[in-house]
Amino acid sequence: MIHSTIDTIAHTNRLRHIDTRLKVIFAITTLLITVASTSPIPPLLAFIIATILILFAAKIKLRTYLLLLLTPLFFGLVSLLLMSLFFGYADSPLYSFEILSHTFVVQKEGANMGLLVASRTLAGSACLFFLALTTPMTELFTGLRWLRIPEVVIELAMMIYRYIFLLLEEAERMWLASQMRGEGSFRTKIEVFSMLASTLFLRTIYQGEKLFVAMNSRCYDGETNSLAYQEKKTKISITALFAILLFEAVLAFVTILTRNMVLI
Amino acid sequence: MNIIDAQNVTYQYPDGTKALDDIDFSFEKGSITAILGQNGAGKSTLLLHLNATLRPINGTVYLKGEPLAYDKKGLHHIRRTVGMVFQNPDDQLLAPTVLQDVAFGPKNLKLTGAEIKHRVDEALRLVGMEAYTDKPPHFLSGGQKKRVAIAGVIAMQPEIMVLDEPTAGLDPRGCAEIIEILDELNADGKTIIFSTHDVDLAAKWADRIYVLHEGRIKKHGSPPQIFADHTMISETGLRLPTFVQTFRELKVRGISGGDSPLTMLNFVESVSKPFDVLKVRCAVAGTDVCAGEKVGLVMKDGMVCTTRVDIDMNAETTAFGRVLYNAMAGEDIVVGGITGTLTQKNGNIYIVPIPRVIEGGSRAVDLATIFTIIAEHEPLKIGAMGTSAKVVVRKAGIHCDFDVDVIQSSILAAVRGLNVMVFVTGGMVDRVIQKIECHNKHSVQEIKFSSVQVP
Repeated sequence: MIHSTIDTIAHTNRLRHIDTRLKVIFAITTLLITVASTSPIPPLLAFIIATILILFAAKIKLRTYLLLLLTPLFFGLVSLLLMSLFFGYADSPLYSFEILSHTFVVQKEGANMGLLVASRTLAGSACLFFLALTTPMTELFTGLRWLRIPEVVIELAMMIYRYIFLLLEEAERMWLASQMRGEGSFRTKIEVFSMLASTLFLRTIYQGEKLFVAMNSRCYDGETNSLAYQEKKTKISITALFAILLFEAVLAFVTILTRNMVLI
Repeated sequence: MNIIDAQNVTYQYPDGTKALDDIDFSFEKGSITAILGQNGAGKSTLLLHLNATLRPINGTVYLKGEPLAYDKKGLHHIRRTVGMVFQNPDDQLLAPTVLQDVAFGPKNLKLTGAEIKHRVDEALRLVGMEAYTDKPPHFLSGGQKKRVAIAGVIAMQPEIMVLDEPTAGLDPRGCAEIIEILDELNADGKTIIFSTHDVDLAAKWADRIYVLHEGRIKKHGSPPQIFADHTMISETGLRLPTFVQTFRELKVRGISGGDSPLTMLNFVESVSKPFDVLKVRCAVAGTDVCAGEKVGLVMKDGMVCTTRVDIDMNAETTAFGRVLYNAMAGEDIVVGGITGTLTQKNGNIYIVPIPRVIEGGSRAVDLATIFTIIAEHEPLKIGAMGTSAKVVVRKAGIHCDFDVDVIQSSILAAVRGLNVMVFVTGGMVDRVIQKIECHNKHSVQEIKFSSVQVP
């Protein structure tokens, strides 16, 4: 399962022990600048940098990364295609072709807008993949707490993270069990699926009840931030922080320089 | 003194099933009690009454003589006194990391940061999971999850630990480790109450057993009392412990006699002749037996056994081996034409106390002294019992022959004539001595034991 793979990588990669806050600052700031950019150049630059960090600094396998990248790449290409065909003014055709006696015209503005969207998609995904692949969720929670995200949200996220794996396992077991008892027609398959989904839902509620009993047994009162325990208090490396900020400044500067610049 | 008492407890689930039907029970402080029964007997329901998760529709549960109070303040008090470990650790482990999960309880008790840290460290060291603090539970094995679940309860420092099926779903080693952890907690004074349908576990480990059947208590008493009632056992859908069953079959064949054994040690003693080590004083000077030579020993009644002779020509010939001869110590025998006297020789058990985790544990021990002690006594087998003793042995890189069922294995080895050294964690020393003394009282083969203090 790809979920557990990401989780395992996050625990074992080379950048695992870099301070979470640095990684969060890098990923979020780069993401924001990328989204704010009006030219595809800064997003492409950010994409390249994030990819280099993922592949060479964190030593993530190329295959894993490409597999993950496939989804945003697909969306990026589809939006590039559609936008270049249906956006823009009719007076700036770049290229035209005919399919079944219907003429399709690729417009300049549309192509540029498509490129911008595609590059932002790639860059944004790369930033988030960087965070997801190098930082275990457990440490991300620490980062979120440091960013002053409300404690309720973090505690809920923590329990969701904990139980999502149990739910996945349960779903997998139930699915396997249904498979082992033979394959049916398309109709029965749909029926089996609906049955599995509803059973899974009921089991989730049941699991929730058991969890609540277990929490009460350990004196849970709903008032304390019971999961907020952290032992380590680390200091951010000033050099690393400075390097990241410098990179972000350069990226922001490039963004301003390339404002409204187009590739085509 | 009873720490928990209950009278006329009846509980009915909302769907109408009567899970408990007018039962009385009481648990003695510092004891280990098993609630034994088949699936659906009401074991879990009973346990959930002990920490006031369920409230009886009739009857009262008393904690240290006070009836349970089901208001907010009362519940808080009950739940910090009675710790509950659930059957499935996944129902209990809710935090994303081991550390945060163990800290969950202490955090709810609103302790200071330093106190939380202290308790969490101690609990994790006691269950041997201190190396896994940052791991998410889904990266752990079943046994490890169980240990973390127990640590989460230990960190709240309850006086009573209630465990629902503590060994269910664990491999044999995992089971033994959990039992040892609980044994250590019990040695430190905690009352242990657990449910199980494993009759062998209840027979060898519990001080008292309650047999629950269809919501009623069929019988309660010590393990020998419970397993002497064969009718009741089969009526309640249970079975006799393996050793009791085997013993019964041997008894009707006239192979063994006496009381029904509940542990392997008792069983072995009830069916076997003592192991002896022969010391043969040479009656004839200048015999033609040489050191290291294999000889056949011919006993008085004509039985023969082969053994290697460890010989000191000037004084005594010692032959180690199993002697297939039912001779008592002091009896004269003939060995290969040499007349000798059979002397009984059992091994010694050297008990080396190691400080408990709360007293500094393995950190308080100088490993060099461990080697000195071993060199001095030259034990043939080494055992380690309890968390910090195990850590000491592991740190010192000593091969440990017995790390589960330590007392029983050590006694069996000593009976075979081997010298055993056991490293025992603080509070458990008394238990070891008690078990050996109990053995000496009931067995013809007395085992010598001595405490060796680590300087």
